[in-house]
Amino acid sequence: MEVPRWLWFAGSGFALLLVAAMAFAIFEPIQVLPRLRLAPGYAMATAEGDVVTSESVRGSVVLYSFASTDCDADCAASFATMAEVRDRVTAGEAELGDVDFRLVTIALDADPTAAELAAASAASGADGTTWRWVAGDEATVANVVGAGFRLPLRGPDGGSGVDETVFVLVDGLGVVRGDYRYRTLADDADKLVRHVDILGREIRYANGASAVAYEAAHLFLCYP
Amino acid sequence: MSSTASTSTATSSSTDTGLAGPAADPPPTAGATSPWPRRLLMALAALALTALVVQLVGPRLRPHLYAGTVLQSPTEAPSLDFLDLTSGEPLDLAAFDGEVVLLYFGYTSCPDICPGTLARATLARASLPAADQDGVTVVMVSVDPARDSPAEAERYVTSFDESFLAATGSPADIDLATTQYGVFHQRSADTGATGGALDGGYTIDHTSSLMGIGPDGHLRVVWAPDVEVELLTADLAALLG
Repeated sequence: MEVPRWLWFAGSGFALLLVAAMAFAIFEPIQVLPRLRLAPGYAMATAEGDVVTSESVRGSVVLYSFASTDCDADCAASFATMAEVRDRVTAGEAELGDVDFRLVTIALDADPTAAELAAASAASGADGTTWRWVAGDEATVANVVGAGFRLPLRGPDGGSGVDETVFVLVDGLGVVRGDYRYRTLADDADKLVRHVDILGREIRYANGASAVAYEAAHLFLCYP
Repeated sequence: MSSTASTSTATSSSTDTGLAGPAADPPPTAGATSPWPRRLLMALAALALTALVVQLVGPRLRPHLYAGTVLQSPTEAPSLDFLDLTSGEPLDLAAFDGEVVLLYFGYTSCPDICPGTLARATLARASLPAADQDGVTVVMVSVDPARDSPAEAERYVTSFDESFLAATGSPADIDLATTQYGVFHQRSADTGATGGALDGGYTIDHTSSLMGIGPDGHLRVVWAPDVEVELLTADLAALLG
């Protein structure tokens, strides 16, 4: 049977578009992290008395962790992960370009003294610049950590702290892009660094015509 | 004497049956080319035509590209335990199901950013078709309950549009709501002057983003305070569906 020419035209074009769409979905030349929800607004203080606010870190990619100032052995793994992520990202393993990367650990115990906060910061490996510890009063901690970051603040024994290691990745617009819970996920520095890299690429390249492709990725792709 | 042999030769290969035999293949001509370049040209032409059609029809079929930041949150927008200052009744976001709510955290003494952002919201809403305007409600939550009385708040928001609502709550409720909506707010140093910020009183530093709650009650889009009116209008129309 002889194929009509107009059918050749239509079929060839459709086939090429279909192949392009499948290649986009299979090879994922563009990867994105989902925009989950807004990160909480807050104002909390460091051991030095500096006030860190959600507005002061706007424009930066921030990795949050949560720990009590007296948490040592249980938090050692999460502190090691934070330090590793900081070192690898600042060494250039994530393509952030000019975008600032910061780490913030929020103290889960309300109103720790400056000395307690400073000691916890030093013990964790925080450097006080890229990685800072912040604290607030009871209401602030309940709002920011409980209602804002959606962490269950008290464990079964009623003490302060949380039962699981949690990291939260927030972009420069104040949107939560990654929420890492449970030990099997939260201790994975490789995954955190990779996600910081994915976020950095989106921040740098999702401009102009590329913005359409990145929005299409948000709509149609599964997340890494 | 010469003789000419006459020969008779078969003059026809056909027999007299009335049936025509199979047509013989045309003899190969010099310079014959493969059909594949022609087919490749046809495929490229098909792609170009498809691209043209997509360019013309695509905008009608393509999902709207929002100017604001689209959230993929599956949860409802946090509830507000506030008082509607314009009606005196409790403000219930659930009452706006089926509508788009533009939520803004500001205060009446705000010197510049609040009136500018609310003006944009006013123009964007007014730019919608008349039938769609009723589907968009603008709510300003005052982060300055100490100075924003119900009368002052109502006067302020209705000066932009009669349909705008103002709400506020206790400082604890405001702290909780602003935290959940990613809004930072902090009172500046108190100058001791009475009256509003424009009269030398304190100002409140605050996040000035516009929040878009969709008809399903989910926080869907967040806009920067300087979003262009035309883009905000288009986003509102897309949210309304």
